[in-house]
Amino acid sequence: MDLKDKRVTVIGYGKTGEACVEVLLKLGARVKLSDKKKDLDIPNGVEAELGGHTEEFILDSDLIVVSPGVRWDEPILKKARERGIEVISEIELAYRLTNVPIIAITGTNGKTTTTSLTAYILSTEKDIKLVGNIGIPFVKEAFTYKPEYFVLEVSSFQLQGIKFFRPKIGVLLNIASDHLNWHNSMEEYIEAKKKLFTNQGGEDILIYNKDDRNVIKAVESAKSRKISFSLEDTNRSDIYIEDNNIRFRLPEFNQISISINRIKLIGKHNIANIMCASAIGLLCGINVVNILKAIESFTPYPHTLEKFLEYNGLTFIDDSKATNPHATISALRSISGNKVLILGGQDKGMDFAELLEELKVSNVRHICLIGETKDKLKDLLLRKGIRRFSIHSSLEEAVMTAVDLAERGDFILFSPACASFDMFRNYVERGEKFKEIVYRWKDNKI
Amino acid sequence: MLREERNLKRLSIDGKIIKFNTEIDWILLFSSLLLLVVGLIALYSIERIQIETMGYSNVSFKSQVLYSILGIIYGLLAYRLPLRFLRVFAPYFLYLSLFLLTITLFFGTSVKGGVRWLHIGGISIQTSDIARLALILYLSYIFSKKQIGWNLHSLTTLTFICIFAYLTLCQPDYGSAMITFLVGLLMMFLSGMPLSMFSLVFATSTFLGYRLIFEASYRERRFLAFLNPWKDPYGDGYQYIQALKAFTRGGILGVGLSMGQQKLNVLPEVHTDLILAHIGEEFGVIVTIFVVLLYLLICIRMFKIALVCPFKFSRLVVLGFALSLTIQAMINIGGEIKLLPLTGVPLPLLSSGGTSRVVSLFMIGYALGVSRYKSEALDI
Repeated sequence: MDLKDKRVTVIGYGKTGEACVEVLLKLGARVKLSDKKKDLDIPNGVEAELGGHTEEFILDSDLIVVSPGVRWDEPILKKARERGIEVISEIELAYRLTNVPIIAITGTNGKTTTTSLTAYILSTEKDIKLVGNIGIPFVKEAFTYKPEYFVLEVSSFQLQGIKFFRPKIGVLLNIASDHLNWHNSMEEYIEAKKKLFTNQGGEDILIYNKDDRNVIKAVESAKSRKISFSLEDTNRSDIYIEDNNIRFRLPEFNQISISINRIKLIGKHNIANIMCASAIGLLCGINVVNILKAIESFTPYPHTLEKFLEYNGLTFIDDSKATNPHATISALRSISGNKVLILGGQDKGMDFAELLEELKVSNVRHICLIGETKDKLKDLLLRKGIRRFSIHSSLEEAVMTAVDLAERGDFILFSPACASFDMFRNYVERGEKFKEIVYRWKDNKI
Repeated sequence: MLREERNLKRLSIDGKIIKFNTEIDWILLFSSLLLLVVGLIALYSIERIQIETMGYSNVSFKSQVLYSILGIIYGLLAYRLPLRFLRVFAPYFLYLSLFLLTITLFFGTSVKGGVRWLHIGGISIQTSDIARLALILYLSYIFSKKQIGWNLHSLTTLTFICIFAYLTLCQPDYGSAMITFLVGLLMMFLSGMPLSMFSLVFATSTFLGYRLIFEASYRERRFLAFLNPWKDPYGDGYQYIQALKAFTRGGILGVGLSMGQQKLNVLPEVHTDLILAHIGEEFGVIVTIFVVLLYLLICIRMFKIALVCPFKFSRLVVLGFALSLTIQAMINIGGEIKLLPLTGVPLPLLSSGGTSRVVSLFMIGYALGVSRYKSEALDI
């Protein structure tokens, strides 16, 4: 792709924008930068406009690269498109820079887990790079490396700005109405997700969720080879579950079964993620034994819904990374069993309203409150009519009470929903402390 | 569902503030130590006067002091242990004590028609006391995890209680067997046994217990003597009458240390079954009432500790210990003042008897350890 001396405007200078600017400079383009923020460190050789977007500045370009977080219906982008200026997202730019096959994974929920698990499986035999929404800008890696595969986590937002982007394997996990604040309507959101496979041909593969009605509707128009997966329909989906084994109704893999008895990931939705990731592994020619080993040893991220111990019928989950109510809500939703929740930390003035609604309906046996926010949470819980909580002056007390109140089969969930700085240096230290206390309890030392 | 909710309420710590490492229960500590001292003084008095007048004594003050020290060491150990420690060993302890209880029947030492002691390496153990301790720990272990109701594990547990009581009864030790059974049954009731089940078991066991009195002729005679001791004042009614006489002789202030008559073997078993009568004679009714009040205080404090304990297992253990000490004290004191038949149950902390002393101090030590953990209601 020849961008030499072309006027390319990058809108939005975050992590992705920064990577775009860097790559574009190396490609020899005349890079321009526009951001609403004022206080930014701009590299040499870049013409920048800070504190807002102006027509004169942006429309004076041959190509516009939009960073995630900028709305597609910004009037200025509309105008640019009307003028015939190409407006693309970062993944489109990256796609044009590489000819390495791409495995692209999208969906409303679970895409980060699926992407990292896929990368983990493939990396047992292949040279791969994990890129995208997960925190590594695709464009920079695409420019620098030539692995066997790129495993890309892609958001609907990024998909909106594609033109030729064509993944070798596309995965559509689910479409829920979560991101409607970004999209004007459900239709627009589904249209964005459809862009994942619009450029795919018959030799490309699309893996999709058969349990999701929006997904089924969306993939109708796909021209690629379609592989369905389902947790419910064992009779007609291509990937299904039978006696805790993942089975395939595909001619080349119908003898294969992958056991999910010893996985560390928690929650039903994660089974679906494992189904997708292991299917991709098989399609890329990974040995079944390696896939099995990988899914059994995979832990998503330390301190993020991390199941680290099963003892006496109790399952301990460290979700110390949950520093806001939303993370705790999703933790509560991903664990279907009875839970004893350890909650609280530093007060950042967050809104707990949604969390309280969730606590009312989810199977929480007891809530142990700790940290600065405990009194605030106490008042909120009482106002909601929830009395199954206790207040503790230390994490150790909370853990001891939690294990005492829990019954066989329960989950002890440490998902504080608050920052960690009141009692700890950071969430990592907080998670480690939690684990240490649990292990001391296990060894009968407290 | 209703049942479960009720249980949750009964043992709930919802909406409470949990406090660790608070002050221990000083009242419990001091009242127990005070009882221990009063008991040792009484035993000292008995030993001295018996040796002076008869040349021998059936109580050894020195060994009781040693047992008290041993008991305090065990109590300290129980106080220091992590609360969960006992829970891990509860099932093994149960099987061990079941074994001990069984071999006592075959290899135990026979004293006055009862086979209650087991000699191991120079020390003799009253296995029924150990068994009761083990049973309390095991019941707490089970019921801190499982729901009681008409289900298999509840019935199994009930069977265990019956086996323990039966083996104790075989020694024969009717009083101890009754206490073991009552403690077990009440612990089940307090952990949420259905009322229908409790009523059935209670009615059946009361009937059986009453019938058992007439199964052995000596028990029947004792029971009839309790109903009217003056019918045979020098035979079966003797102990009742002498105990009452001892209280009367003591009056308000008592006859004074080592001045009592009943230790001239007027009162058999004065150092165990009838120690309160001895205290009543030598120190008077004021001290006697004070001793009874100390027991009351110990029981109330232990129940209180159990009620505010945030942990299910420890709560049940302390509850069981409190029940055991309370029922023992009640049955013994009741017998001495002729409110209940005499059953040969020692008065915990006061009576002579090594195992009882060590076990009681262990129980109090554990309760003191638990008293550091409290759940307090929020003021809403």
